[in-house]
Amino acid sequence: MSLFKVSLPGVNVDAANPFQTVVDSDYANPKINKKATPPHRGLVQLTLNNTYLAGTNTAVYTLKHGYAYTPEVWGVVSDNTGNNIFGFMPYISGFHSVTISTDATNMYITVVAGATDWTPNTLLNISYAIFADNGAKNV
Amino acid sequence: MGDFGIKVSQIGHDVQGAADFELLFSSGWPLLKIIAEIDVTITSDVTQTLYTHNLGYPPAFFLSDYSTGFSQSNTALNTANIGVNTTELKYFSGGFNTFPLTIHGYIFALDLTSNYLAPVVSSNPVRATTDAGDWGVKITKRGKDVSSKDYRDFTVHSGTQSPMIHQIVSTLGTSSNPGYTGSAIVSNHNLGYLPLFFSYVSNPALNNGYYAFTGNYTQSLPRVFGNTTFTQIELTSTAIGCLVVFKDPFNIDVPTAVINA
Repeated sequence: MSLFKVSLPGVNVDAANPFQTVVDSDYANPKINKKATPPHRGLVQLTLNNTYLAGTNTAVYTLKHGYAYTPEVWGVVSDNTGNNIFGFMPYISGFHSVTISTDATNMYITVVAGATDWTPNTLLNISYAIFADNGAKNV
Repeated sequence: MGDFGIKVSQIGHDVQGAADFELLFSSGWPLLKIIAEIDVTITSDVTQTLYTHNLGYPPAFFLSDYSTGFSQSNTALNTANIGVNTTELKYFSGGFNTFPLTIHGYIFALDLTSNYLAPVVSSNPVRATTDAGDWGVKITKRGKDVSSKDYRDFTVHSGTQSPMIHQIVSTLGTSSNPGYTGSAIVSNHNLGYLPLFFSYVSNPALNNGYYAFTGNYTQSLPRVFGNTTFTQIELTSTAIGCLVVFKDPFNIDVPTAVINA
C-alpha cells in the first residue's frame, strides 16, 4: 500500500492504478530543479551560420548542470524552415545533425557534421530540460 | 463527485490563478510516473528482449544512449528498432551499426492504447515572483530521508517541476487533418502554446507492431508538426500511433541563451 496517493476525479483511490493517480509515493516522477542557475528548463535560440568541417563535432553551447552524475536530458527542437515541424533531438538535416547530451559535468548542444562540409545558415529553437534523474547507469 | 481536490504550485508561483503548467501537480490530471528505470547493453545486432514489464498494456518509454560516455537520444533508439508491447521492451535487429549499445531509460505508467484528456483550468501564466521562503511539499521514496538534498530520493518535491499529462491520443491515423493530406494522428489540444510531447507509432511494416518512439526531428516521415492549437504525427502510411501531449510548454518565456555559432 502506498504511503501517500491522490487519485484522479471520480476514481476510488484504493483501487486506482498508477495512471489513475495524480501523485503516488510508490512511483516517482521525473523532476527538474526549479532553483538551478543557469536554468535547467529553458530555451536556446541557436543561429548556425558558420561552416562545420566534414567529420567534426563542435559543441556550440555548454551548460554546467551542477550534478555529480550524468542526468537525463530532453531536447526538443523546431526550426524556421519546416513550418512548425518539431521533434526530439537529434535534429537531422541530411547527413548532418545537432544533438543534445549530458555527462557528469555539463549539458552540450553539438553540431555533428557529416561527410561534407556544412554551412547550415539556419535558426533552431531548442527547448531543453535537464532532469535530476539519472541519464546513465548510476554507479 | 464534488468540486474538491488538491493542487500545489511550482516554487514562486501563486497557486491562486497559476496556469496549469505552473503547477507542481493538480488532482485534475496525472503526473508522468516512472514504473521502472532500466539499464541494458546490446552487445550484438540480434533481436532481443531488453526489459520484461508485464504491465498488460504497451507503456510509454524514453531511452538514452550513453555508449560514448554522453547520455543522449539518438535515431537508433527513436525510430523503428526498439518498441514495446503488452509484456516487453524489445530491440529488433538491423537498427544500429556500432555495438555495444548501452542504454538507460524509463518505463512510464502510461498506457499507449488508452485515450485521455485533462481539463484546461488556466493557460494564463502568473509568472514567478521572488521565492517567498522555505515552504512546500516533499514526498520521499520508500526508505529515503526527507531531509535529503538529492532530488532522486523524492517522488514529489516543491523545488522541482515534473511533466504533467494533458492528452493522450491513441488511434489509427486518418487522412482528415489540418494542413496535411496524408495520414496523421492529431491532438486538438487548444492550449494556446506549443506543448512538449511524446510520439509513438505501431506499424507491422515498420516495427513489428510494437510501439516505437518516433519523436526525433526529421524531414522525412513519420514526424511531428504542431502549433498553438494542435499537434500531429504525420505518417508514411496508415498506422496506429499514440501522441502524448504534456501541459509543459515548448517555449519558456524568453530564451535563456541566444547563440550565434
